[in-house]
Amino acid sequence: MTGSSLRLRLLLAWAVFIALTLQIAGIGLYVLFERSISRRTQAELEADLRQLSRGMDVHGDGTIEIVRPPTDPQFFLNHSGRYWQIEEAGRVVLRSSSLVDETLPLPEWVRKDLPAGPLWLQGPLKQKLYTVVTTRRIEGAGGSRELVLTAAVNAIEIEEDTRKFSTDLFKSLTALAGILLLGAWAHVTIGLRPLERLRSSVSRVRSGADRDIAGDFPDEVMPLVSETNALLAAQEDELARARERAEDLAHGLKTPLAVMGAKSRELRQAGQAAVSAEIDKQIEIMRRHVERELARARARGSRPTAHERTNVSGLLDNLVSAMQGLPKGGALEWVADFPRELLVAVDKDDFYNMIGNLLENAQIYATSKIRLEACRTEHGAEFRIEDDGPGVPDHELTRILERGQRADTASAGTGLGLAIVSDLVELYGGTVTLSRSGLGGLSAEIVLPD
Amino acid sequence: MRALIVEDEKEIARDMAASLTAAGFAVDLCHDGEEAWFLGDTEEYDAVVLDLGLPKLDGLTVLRRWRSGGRDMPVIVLTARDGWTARVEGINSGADDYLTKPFQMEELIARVRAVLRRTHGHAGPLLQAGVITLDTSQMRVSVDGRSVPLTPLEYRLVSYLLHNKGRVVSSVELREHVYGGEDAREANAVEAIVVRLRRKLGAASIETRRGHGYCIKEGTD
Repeated sequence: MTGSSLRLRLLLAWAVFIALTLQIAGIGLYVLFERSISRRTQAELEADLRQLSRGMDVHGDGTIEIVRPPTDPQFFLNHSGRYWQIEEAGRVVLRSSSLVDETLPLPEWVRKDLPAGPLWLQGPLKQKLYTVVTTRRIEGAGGSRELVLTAAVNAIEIEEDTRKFSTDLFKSLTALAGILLLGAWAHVTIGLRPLERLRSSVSRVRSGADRDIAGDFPDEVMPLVSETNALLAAQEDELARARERAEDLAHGLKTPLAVMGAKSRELRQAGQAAVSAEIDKQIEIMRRHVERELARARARGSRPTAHERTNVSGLLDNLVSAMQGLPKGGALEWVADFPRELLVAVDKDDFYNMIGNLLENAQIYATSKIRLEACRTEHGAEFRIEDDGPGVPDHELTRILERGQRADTASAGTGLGLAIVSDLVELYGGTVTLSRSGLGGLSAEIVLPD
Repeated sequence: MRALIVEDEKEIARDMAASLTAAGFAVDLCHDGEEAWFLGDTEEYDAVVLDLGLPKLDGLTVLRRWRSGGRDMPVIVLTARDGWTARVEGINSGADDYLTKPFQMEELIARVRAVLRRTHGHAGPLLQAGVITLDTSQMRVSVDGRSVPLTPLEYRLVSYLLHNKGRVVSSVELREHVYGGEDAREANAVEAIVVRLRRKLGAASIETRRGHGYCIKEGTD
């Protein structure tokens, strides 16, 4: 996956979105939990205070007694973290036994102005205490007394709960993030599937299997498909025009080349042999280009889309009899070996041009014998043409299939033959192989697939 | 030797005509199939260069008509490089050789000379009769190894007689093979050329058979 991958972009966006959302959710839940636990604690402490105030009595001697002390065992354990205390005019009157001999240090301002909510105090053993303070007027035999009641709990209990909760919260949010990411991945994959389909469609167009992108695509992709198809059509038109222009150009160059050839001959007759030879050489090079281009244009014109299968044995007969009718061909020994029925999906003209060029080549170089063999193999139809001429050195074998190259510049022929054969065979998806023949010369083998 | 060039591209046709003329041929030119068929059917040519893509009547049809009408002069067909179909049909319809367009004029002349040699059963470019030697590739005639300068008409006449060595050739036939279609043909022109040739090549070189024609014999001396 590269940096510009659409999938990566979408997944990254998803990841960022999920992380942000879960973070906000986490913080929100944490705050809510804390608030709720704090409310619960406060309610508990207030309940303690209510219990405390209801269980108090003022005796006739002025002493204050807890008739029914709060029952929570925590109030009786030393420094348990749960405390209560009763003050009167700044002096501690009574306190839970859990405080042992310490007091809850209420700040001065609290006594003057009681806060509505809880406050934090430092208690015994430096415990951080969550504290609720209230005032109560107690009526009894000893009269009415104004008391400050304080209940506190070690905040560490609350904090422990909160810590446990946030750990659980973190775990479940992480799991949720994983599930969401999985969902995002599925979403991206399903969402991008039409693009994958589009890609394979385009590659089919590129390989030539399809002319344009076919099939039904989502509305968001469809404009891209139709634009691409329009582009393909425009490109094909442009290509066709370019080919036509190349063909026109090649045709157009033929006559000027012929005229230049004539002028060159005039030069030679006028004694300018060296200049004329150079011009002829250049003309020859230009002619090869022109010929190759025309051969290509023609080959493209007969693009083998779906040819009916032709029995080529009759065509081979015609070729051999034509070659034997030629001055050089008549003097050679021809060995032709092919079945009477050999069906090949090939255009007749293309077939003549392939085999004809190879036979012509063999005939030019052969000393006394040419062998033509054809058969059907598992790869398709196979044709082999061999001669007993001088052959081609191994290192030249591949080169002579290329553009207008020839192994030998002294003999007749323009060297285009093999290149044209190679072009044509390629067009049919076949192969040309050159090698040394058992006869001593060149062996050219064509395989045309079915 | 007389040749017919059938080619619809005038520039190339003129070019070929000039080259073949320079190579010692009397050349007739035509640019369409119908005229070509007519000329080949009625005139005597020693060689025909026939383009296969022609207006009015295509080259293959012209060739087939000539052959079925018993005209057996050597014919070289011109085809495009990728025109193997036409080439195969041309040769199997009776063409003696083919030449791929575009071609070098030297190639054309070499092919024409080769089909001429083949038609007349000669193996090499040298034609010999006694002391007279004609080198078709050099267009040179020599007597006893001594080169003899000849005019084009003289060369054509001695060349035709040598190609048909040992056969009596009538003055009408000679006239047809020595002059191009458009040249003036005086009745006694052939006789005048023969007289000049005898002066250059030796009195006994060309034999006259009264009422029949002329002949160069195998072992003239």
